[in-house]
Amino acid sequence: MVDRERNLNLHGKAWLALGIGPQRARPNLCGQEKPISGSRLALVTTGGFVPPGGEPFKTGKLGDASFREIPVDTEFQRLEIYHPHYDHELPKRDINVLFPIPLCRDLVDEGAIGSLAATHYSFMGYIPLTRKLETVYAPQVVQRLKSEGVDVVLLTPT
Amino acid sequence: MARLAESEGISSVCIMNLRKVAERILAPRTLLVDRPFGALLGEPGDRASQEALIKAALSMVEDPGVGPGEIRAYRP
Repeated sequence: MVDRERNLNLHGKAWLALGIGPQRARPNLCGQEKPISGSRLALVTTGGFVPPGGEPFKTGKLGDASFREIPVDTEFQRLEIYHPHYDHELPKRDINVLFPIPLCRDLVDEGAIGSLAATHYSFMGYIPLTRKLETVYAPQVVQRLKSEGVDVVLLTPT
Repeated sequence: MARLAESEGISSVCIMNLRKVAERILAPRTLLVDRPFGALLGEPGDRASQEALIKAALSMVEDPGVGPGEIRAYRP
């Protein structure tokens, strides 16, 4: 069995122990009418990725609830990572381990996925104050996904 | 975010690695993986494993038998 917390630093482990929040109610599903091979897919991660020259995420005690747009044709090796709690080495070596846009592009070419959205999104996973995430940023991202005709979103929180 | 997406007609699936967190958050669909933080989808360069995992996650969206809040343990 893998040590799932091995890449977290001490603060990250402590935050995880304290910060899960209340039990959520059972969610609703919207229903999926198209096969994945005919769907538009977008990826959302909380890995803390920032495009080259973009504004870094704040990694202090108050965290950061904002997001960054990651264009599908980004030079992924130039993405920067701002996240205070996990070891960035593995996604720096291969972004597909956490934010698999390059791999999903290949899956589109192979016909397994219909298409990719032009824009994908990264948050930074240390968000102790969630109000702005819930009321501003998450709704903004969802509306942008909708405007791009996204059918499916794959989330990789970390 | 996943719940919000579903409310707007966008299907969603989360890949997570801690059952206690997945059960508390209860996303619409969760694929639970035995992987460390920062590398949920596999080891660097292991494209076959990464691809299999992504396809398993996306298959949960297509599977009409997946119920709301289902947490499925990924078995490679």
